[in-house]
Amino acid sequence: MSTIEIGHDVGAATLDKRRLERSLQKAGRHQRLISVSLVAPLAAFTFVFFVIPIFAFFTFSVANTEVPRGLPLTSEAIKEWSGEGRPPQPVMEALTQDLQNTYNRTAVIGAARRLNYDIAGFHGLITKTITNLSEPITQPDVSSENTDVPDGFSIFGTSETTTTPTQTLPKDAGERLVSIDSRWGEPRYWQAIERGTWTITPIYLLTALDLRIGDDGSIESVSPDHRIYQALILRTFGVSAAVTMIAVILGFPLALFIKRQPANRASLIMFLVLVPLWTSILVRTTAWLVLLQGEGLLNDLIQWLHLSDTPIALIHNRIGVLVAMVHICLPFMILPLYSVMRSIPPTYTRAAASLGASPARVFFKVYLPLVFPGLSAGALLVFIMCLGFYVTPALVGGPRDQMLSYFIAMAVNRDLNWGLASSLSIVLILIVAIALLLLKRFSASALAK
Amino acid sequence: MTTTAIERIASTLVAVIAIAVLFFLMVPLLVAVPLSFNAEPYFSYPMPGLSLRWYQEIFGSTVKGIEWRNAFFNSVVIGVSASILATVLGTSASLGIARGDLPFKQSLQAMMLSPLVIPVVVYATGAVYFFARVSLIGTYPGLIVAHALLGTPFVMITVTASLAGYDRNLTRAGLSLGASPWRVFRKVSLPLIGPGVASGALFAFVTSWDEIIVTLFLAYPNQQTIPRRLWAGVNEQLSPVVIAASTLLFLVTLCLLVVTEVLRRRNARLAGTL
Repeated sequence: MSTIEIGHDVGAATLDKRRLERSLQKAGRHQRLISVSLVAPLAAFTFVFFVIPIFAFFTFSVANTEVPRGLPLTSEAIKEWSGEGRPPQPVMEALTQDLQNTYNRTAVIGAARRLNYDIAGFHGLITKTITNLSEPITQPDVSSENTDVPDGFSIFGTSETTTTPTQTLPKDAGERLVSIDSRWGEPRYWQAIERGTWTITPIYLLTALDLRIGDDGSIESVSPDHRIYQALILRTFGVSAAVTMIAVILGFPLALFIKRQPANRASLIMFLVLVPLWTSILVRTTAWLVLLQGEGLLNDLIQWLHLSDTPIALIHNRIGVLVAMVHICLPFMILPLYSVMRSIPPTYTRAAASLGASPARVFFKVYLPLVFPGLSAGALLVFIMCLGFYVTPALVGGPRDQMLSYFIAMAVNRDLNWGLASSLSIVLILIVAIALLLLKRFSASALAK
Repeated sequence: MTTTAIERIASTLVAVIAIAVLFFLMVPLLVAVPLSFNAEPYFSYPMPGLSLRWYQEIFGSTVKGIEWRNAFFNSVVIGVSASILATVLGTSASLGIARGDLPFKQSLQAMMLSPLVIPVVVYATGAVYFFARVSLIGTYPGLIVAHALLGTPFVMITVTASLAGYDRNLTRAGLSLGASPWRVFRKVSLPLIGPGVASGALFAFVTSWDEIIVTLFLAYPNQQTIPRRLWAGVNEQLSPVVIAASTLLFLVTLCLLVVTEVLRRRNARLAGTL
């Protein structure tokens, strides 16, 4: 009897428990739905207007659509080519036809520009070939063998070529192309066209690292006098590291000083630190321009003090960039440092001193490890900010002080080379990501100690 | 005895360096501002005479004056709109995150804060292509959206910080007493996290107010903003008008800074009483 009752009770209890669990789960789901719907608008906004544009931009680094669009017949025909020696006749004929297609001229020029990124001079080769092909001998059908050369041919033909001025008529499309420019006889130009038909291309990413595809198809460094981007990456890294270091050296004493002041004076000094932080970067850069110019105030002062008789170049060089960038970044160093310093109880250092440690030992063994989280956070912030700097180097730097951001902007605005801009952006983002990871791990391990 | 001497020397050294650094932070602004009152278009002291002619150029009825005021108007419209958009989205997201039961919290948070670490030039370049595809390039909505995006991380940071000191039992109490969630937010939560929301809104406004890179890439030539005119002025020929405009900009940000400082203190006081 009793066992049955107990069994019945247990059954009811589990039933109740299950029901309770279910309704709890339901309530939890409901609550989570509210959280999700609160976050969703910003998440969607950021995704659509930030993540998508950046990823769409990144796809340009490997996009390879120009050649198939500009030279459709050639792209189709060149698939049959082994890659060795001269391509077969149909390829040559296809190229002649593609270049004579006046309706597709814009796309052809696009393809020419794309090929020029692969081999310098390709653009000129194509425009020259187009001009020569459209000379009076224009044939309605290129694939048919042309048999007569008009009188004007040699005149037009020799007008800008380095090739043999052929009086004899070219027998086929291949010979005709080679007669316009001997470079069409070199396999590497055809290999470049073939590379242009790949689904994706590595050339922009390679260019961003000063690499190229060699004639034998392997990856090689570009010749030393064409190397730009490795030095640029190193410079971006170096300037950022230098600014970070100077900011640490200057920011640490100031933060320490503020912490030691009485509360009222400390908040006044903090206010003075915050004023530059809130002042537009453009305004601050302008102020430095005024100060550092050749006939600027600092040079007046230097000459007045007879430190130098001639004006010292302080602007449009590395000095100007470093000074202005440190000025912009310093508050970001001081803020986290100060907030950490304020949270350290003075009893720690006092305890160490009372146990007989020398001031230097107290500083390096006790105080510095305690401050380290703030120091690394500030350094991380400053370093990452510096990597992306554009306005300040552009205004107070010389041509040799520009950083990655400047070259990204220039690739798009001046050269319309989206592939290169995208590749350089990827390099920049990777450096930022590595810096984030490294310093995160670094500061985390420092905290663990 | 020696330790105190060393300590004294060390602290004197720290003070000297600190004051020099403060000087370095303040001087460029202090030196540049008076030059906007220079009677002659030079940048050297002593000034031959004082005049307000450069300010007159900004406030006058000449073409240039109209252009400056037009730029000011654009900056305000874009800044206020971007700030409102960023504040609404950022506050809502922070409230959602603070509830603590959000799935994929880490990655969502990282994504929403990413505008803070991605170099602006990279974003601006990507935005040119994307915004052109959706016909937002050269439009006010386009600029407002892009500026708001750059401001949202700041709103999230300030609002999240003020929510850290917020007792969720207050919300529960309000709800259990029968108030609607919206009413609880407006009557209980918002007054308490208000200073955080307001300083987030100010940060978002200043982000837009100072923004030059995205504007350079996305705006059409007729969409002048104050930073854009300054950029052109510095790039072409540095004239005292640019310094005068910079001074005005500086004064505006100074006022905003005072406002945030007041808000911060209020926030701290509220957090202290609760």
